[in-house]
Amino acid sequence: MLEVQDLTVEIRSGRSIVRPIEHISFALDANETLGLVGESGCGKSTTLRAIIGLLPRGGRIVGGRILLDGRDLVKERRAELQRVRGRSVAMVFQDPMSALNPLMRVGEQIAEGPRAVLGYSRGHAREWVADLMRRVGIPDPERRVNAYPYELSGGLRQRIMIAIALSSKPKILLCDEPTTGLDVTIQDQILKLLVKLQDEEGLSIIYVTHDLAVIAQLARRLAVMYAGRIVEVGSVRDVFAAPSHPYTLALLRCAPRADRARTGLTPIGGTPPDMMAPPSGCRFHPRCPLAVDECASGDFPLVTVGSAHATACIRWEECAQYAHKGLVMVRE
Amino acid sequence: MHFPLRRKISAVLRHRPCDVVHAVDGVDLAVSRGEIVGLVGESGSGKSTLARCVVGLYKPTAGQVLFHGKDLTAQRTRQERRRIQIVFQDPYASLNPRMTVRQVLRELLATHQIVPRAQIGRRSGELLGLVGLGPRFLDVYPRQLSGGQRQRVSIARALALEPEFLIADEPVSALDVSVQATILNVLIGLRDRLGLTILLVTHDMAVVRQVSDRIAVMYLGKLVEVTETEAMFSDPRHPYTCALLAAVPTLTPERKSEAAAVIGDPPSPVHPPSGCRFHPRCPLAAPLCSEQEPSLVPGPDLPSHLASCHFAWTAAPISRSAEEGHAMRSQLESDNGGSAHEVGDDRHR
Repeated sequence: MLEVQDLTVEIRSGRSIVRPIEHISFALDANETLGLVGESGCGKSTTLRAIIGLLPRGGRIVGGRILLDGRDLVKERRAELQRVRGRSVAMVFQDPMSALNPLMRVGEQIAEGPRAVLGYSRGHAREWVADLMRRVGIPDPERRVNAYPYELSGGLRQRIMIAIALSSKPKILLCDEPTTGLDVTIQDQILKLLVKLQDEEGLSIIYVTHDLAVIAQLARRLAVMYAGRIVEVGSVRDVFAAPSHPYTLALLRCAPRADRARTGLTPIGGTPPDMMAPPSGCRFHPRCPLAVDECASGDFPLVTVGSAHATACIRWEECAQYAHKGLVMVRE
Repeated sequence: MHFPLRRKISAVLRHRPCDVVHAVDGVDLAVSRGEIVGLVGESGSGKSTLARCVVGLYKPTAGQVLFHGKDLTAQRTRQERRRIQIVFQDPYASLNPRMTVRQVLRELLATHQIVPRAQIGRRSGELLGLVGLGPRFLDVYPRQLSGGQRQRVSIARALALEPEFLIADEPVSALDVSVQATILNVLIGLRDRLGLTILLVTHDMAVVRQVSDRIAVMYLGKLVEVTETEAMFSDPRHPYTCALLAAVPTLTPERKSEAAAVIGDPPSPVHPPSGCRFHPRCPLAAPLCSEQEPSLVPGPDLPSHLASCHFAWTAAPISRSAEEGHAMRSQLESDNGGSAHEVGDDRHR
């Protein structure tokens, strides 16, 4: 349904040029949820923004294709993209307080999309909005439709964001860490809402987060990103059971677990790379316990290691062995 | 050696002229030397307010903060202030951007005369060493440091005064997960090597499970459950604790139930619900719950496990799934011979 091929984005600011993402490739099928996982600065948000055409000033796509039902969005003109945005692809942003217009009633904000994109009349839009608010679980929608964002709690605001995203009946929902900063009980409600909506509306979702546990709950497949590249992709089950990239394995090992008694925490050595001057070769190699000389130069495309499971690591077999034996890798 | 830190605090923040926010209401908590206690709760629970009362940033409206039996609630002396220190959540806001690390540490060491002037430099290096930073970090500004490094500097700063008790208010929430492990290991190391007592305030159940010895759960200004870490995870007794645990995403989601762990949004702390504050969102709520507030009491054979729920210690342990909870409630209704009214009928199942 959506296929991203070899996508590269450049951001110019002043004299400096940064490539927040390079050679990104993945596919999204109908009715599936794909998790995009990585830490801050890895380029996951940039990937979403490139797809929907909301790159920051100075940013542009300099390579690759984004195929939506066969059409390459990179080549489309702005007017065409405007039609795609909202209608086929919609985005749920991270911080509802910044993303919502504080001066507009939420009902109006939800109605903006359908009125502009679907051509609904005011009356029709009002009905549609109330119905949508009910479907995203906002209690008492007839009254809430006139509320301003500041009058609503964080959980309700995020539901409004989801309603806005759904208002023009998109097929694909891009979620950029929508539950970061929300209480865990509210996060649980929002995640279950997304699962329900996906079922009912037949949506495809790309969900960006740094939290592997959230992905476990929501997605069937995931792609792990590091320093602007995808390092591993596969089904959640396969990737968790047999992580084939040292970064994935390190992430799984270093995150505190709520479902296991005290095990000891293993941090990842070193520091995240400076994207202005990223490491040569495999970008993880300076911090990688399995790194060898070959890792410091060359290209590392994804190689298939299982059914729909691919990794960018040339030593993935050793990595999978470490994972299998439950060993902790320590960098000398 | 045991030191009780008993306090009954009702910290009240003026919200509007007549309205009052009961941020922390009647909390009794004791922390023993060398313990790491996790104080857990969501936004509005009062955990940060409680932490700030303990360290002396707020003066409680009522109640006491007792340290080694001495009441610290009134004005603290410089000596007293040294003994309890705090590390804040936001590493980007809690360091003075115009001071180098060396200047920050020197100011503290000199003002409190921790070591003779001549030794300040050496002691500063030692403090950084305690948090795993080399001496080259002495002459940098905060803007040159990553979030994790800044947080470690904040910890070193807190340690400069040689406290006995360290309060860490969400120390890793703003950090990437790969850095969280480093910071948490620093804290555990400080307890193991220096005998430091730590109160870890957080909303993250995973962090608390990996780091704390005991956990105290707060909801809307009240303590709802206190016990050892593993006991809380294996046998939670308060419905809010169960809901909190059920809501935490894990890497093994197969065991979770379909229904959302808890219904609706937390109520306003300005007008808390009557009786038990959790009753409007509780799957086990009965008429008794809206009338009478439960007290924090230990279990019949479990003196160290406290919970404040009318049904915490009834026959069967409270399970984590809403469906089972509902079934249990029907059982309780028939046991009690009355009918419990349905709370929140509009919620989805």
